[in-house]
Amino acid sequence: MDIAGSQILITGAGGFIGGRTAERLFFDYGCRPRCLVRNLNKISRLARFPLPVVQGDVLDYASLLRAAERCDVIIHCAYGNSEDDELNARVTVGGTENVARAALQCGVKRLVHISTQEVYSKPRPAVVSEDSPRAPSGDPYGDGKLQAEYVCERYFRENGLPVVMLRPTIVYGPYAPSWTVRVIERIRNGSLVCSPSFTGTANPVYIDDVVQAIFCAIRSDDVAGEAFNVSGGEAVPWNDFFASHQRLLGIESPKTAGSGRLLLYRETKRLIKPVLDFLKNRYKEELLEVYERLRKRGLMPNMKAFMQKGNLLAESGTYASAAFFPIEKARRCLGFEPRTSYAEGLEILRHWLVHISLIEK
Amino acid sequence: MKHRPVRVCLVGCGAIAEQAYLPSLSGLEECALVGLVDLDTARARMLADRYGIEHVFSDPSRIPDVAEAAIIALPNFLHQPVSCELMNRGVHILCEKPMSITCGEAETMVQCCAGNGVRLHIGQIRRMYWSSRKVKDILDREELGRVVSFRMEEGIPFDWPTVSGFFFDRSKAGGGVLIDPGVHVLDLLLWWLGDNPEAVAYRDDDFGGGIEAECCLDLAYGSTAGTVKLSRLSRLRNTYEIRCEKGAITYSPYLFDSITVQSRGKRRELSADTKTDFIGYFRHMLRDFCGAVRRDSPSILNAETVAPVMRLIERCYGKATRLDLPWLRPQSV
Repeated sequence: MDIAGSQILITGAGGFIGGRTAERLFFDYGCRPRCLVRNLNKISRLARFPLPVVQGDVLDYASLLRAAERCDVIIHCAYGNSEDDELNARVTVGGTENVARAALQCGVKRLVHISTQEVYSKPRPAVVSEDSPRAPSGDPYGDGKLQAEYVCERYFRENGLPVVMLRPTIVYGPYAPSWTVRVIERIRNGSLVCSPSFTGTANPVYIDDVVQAIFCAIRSDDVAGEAFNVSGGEAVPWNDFFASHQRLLGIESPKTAGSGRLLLYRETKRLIKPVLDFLKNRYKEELLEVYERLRKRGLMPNMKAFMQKGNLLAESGTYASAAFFPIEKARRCLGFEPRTSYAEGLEILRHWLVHISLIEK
Repeated sequence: MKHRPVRVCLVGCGAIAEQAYLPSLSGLEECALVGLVDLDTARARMLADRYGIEHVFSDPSRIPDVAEAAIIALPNFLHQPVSCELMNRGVHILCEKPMSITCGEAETMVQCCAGNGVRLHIGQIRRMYWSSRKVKDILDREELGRVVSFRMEEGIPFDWPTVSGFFFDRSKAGGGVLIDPGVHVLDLLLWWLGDNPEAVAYRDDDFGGGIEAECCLDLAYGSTAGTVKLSRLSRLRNTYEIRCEKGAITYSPYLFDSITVQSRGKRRELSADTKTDFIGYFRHMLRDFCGAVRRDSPSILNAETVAPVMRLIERCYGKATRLDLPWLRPQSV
């Protein structure tokens, strides 16, 4: 399908992948996609461009239908990312059901559903291809996305919905909330270190390659009902992933912690957390003031970082997984080829970190 | 002598009204909030019931019947017309920042204020902070010598719970991050260092949407040069560094009651004797306004002292060039 001549709706356009997709459609194709957002306070990125922003909600079918009218393509990026797991499940699963229904009702020619590598069952085999088993893992995000895939598949099977599902891996790049902003923040506050326990590999994919895969999915025929891994094609050991970010921040010798230390962090958190919660509930304001005063003088550690460190042992399960997510199917069927190597992606990140004043030129 | 409270209406019931003005007006003895004005009268009524406020109107022209002063907390593009309409009818005004969306509007407001003999204050609340006044005091007294350079950075992902969403409409907001929160940053700079810096360069990331999310300014006061960097997308350093001949001042826009001063090789944290929170500073601003209305006392928030920032903002927008953002560049398809 011709992207430049298509009317495109992006759900979740205020988010990271949706927002960057809108920007690239504008830059690369001169398109002005309709940008569906729930919260107007999330449109700072979009408002830089002359793009039509539509306020609506994937849970509000009428608003969704209005936004989808006369669209050729829907790129569905919206998902639940609040603090409320129950609401998140409704947004991710029920929202996808609504999007699929609206796509069908409006006769769209392609629905691109943004899924995730988290739909695959755990523990994972060494190679996770698109036909590897999927199963709920207990992680609300991955489980919601898995249910959303089932919805898409049902609409394809029963109604012939021309849906394509993309499963990005570790998406990084400027403004990437999970795998750039949070990683940088945690390295800076000392709560993310390397560890001999992190024996696994990340499959990083630069944000623009995810967007590229979306464009390929729109352009390709005969791929309805299919799902595709979307990765940068490189396996990067997690310790290298973290160490390379540490180096970006000027930390030349990677900070590491052995498994004993990870256990110590977890147990310390386990012991201290109830005491802190009690104090926080009882003396919130007073405690915060004393804490800030002591912290500024270097007499107290950063407690947020301290607590995050306590999670490292639990996270080490993720970082010990050596699964590789091949992209041969996307190459073959979609003509997808990642364009930004991990080394190039890091160089872009370096420019961005200078821009936001986290490092000097 | 104790003065009777100033009878005030609050015009605009959006997020700033709900989160700052209403809680700070509540129980303030210098001020009697007698009415709320908003086109959305259901919302105004809900807030009026919550705070026990007598009148609810949709039309600001009814204000002179019940009040002698008004707080304008409307979308930016309405600041000038509504303020002027009320000043022409003898109502004193405390107008939210930015004062207006153009320099011409700001000048009209100042003239209208003078012509009607009323007070017009602008809510550049940061001038009230202990930390801002301390910086001004140090610089005015040249305690650290002459200012050599400055670097001001302020950025945090935008998360203001906007009710109307006007922030993202150029015709209503007047611009993006430069006009808000940039108006706070530049107003302090002008208050501290003088009203007429040369805008050497201004770069932003407006690609035709009209609402820049990031911008960088190069400014100069003669041989004193500095930069201002603002972002609605990323958390920046959030510090202002002012280097002087004999030391430096570090100011944080989020610490209202302390600054750090470096001189003779030593860093000292200077703090206010008593802490004041954000609502407390709103109360200071409202008391200052009421004092000016009742006693004609001088104020650092007088419109004519604040207006120059609008000139600077307009000059910047007039010479905008594009920020270099390599990660945004188009890719070949």
